[in-house]
Amino acid sequence: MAEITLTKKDFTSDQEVRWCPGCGDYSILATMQAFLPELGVPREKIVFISGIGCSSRFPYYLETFGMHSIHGRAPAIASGLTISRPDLTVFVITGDGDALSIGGNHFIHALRRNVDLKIMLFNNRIYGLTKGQYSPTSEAGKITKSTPVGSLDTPFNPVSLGLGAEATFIARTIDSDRKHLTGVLQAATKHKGSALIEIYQNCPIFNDGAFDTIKDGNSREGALLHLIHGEPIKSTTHAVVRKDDGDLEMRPLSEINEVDIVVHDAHRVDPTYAFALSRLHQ
Amino acid sequence: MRTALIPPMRLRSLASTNEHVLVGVFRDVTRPSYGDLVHEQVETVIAKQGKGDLAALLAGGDSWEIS
Repeated sequence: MAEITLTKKDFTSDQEVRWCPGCGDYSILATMQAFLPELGVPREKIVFISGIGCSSRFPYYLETFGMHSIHGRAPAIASGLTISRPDLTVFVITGDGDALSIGGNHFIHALRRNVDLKIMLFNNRIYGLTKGQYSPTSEAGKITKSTPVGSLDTPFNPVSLGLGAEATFIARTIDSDRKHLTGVLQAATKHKGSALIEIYQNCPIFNDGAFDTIKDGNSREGALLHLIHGEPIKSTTHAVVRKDDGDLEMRPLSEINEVDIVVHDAHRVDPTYAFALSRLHQ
Repeated sequence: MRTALIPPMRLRSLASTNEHVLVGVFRDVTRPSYGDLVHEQVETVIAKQGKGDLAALLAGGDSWEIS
């Protein structure tokens, strides 16, 4: 039988996309629709399972199987599906509130078990669908409708949390950087087991500008340090070096020698190195 | 006073927000997936004990008793 080549259009559903104008979810959706043909998997073998939240409308907009499920419970539903149907490629779509607050336990146990799921965590550091309450990833001191004089709790760092939960694959990317997001999706879908992808996603209504430093054309090259296996970890202005006591730190390039820059090893089994990287920025 | 805590916390927040951010793959290591382990275990047990009869198990006697 002749092989059918699918295109982005084949993965685009006829549903009206209902997100606020300017929402970062649009660019993530467009990147995913363009990436799926690359997978070479028939549409009927792909499933998107989401929880509740703005990002969880994602399955409606893809011409694959999908389920807009229960708040925080997408990893549990997706676990049952992928274990009983290992022939399927299963994605979980979730947000910072859905995954880390309401569904915190399902999230960590899916990672611990290394269930074959690709978990895309849209992190906008706010509850958007319910109109702007602080979330588990909102920075301390965040002023919102539910914290009028500032939030008091320390936020979760999703990468650190995932590492603590024994995740075998963890990456971070940005909604508007289509090339980088595609590269991360390629790596995650090649990984056998749980893959956690944290996506910094701007909410233009309730937390606009949360990631401006790493999106602005003037500052992003200095602000972003790309983790590429086998390559030094540096931006145009800063780099990661190891201190005398063994800890990692970020230093200006002008203050260090090139040979002292840490070369990234994504395959190191001991998670303490990846954890130290995750703590360089909170 | 509780509100006195807020200004320094907000300063800390400003200082730690997105000055420099690491992006890319932090960790990519190999470990058997849960699904593979489950299927392997089921096959091993079936090979040793046979496929079993779920209906008979459900309709069977008590598996434990209160003494």
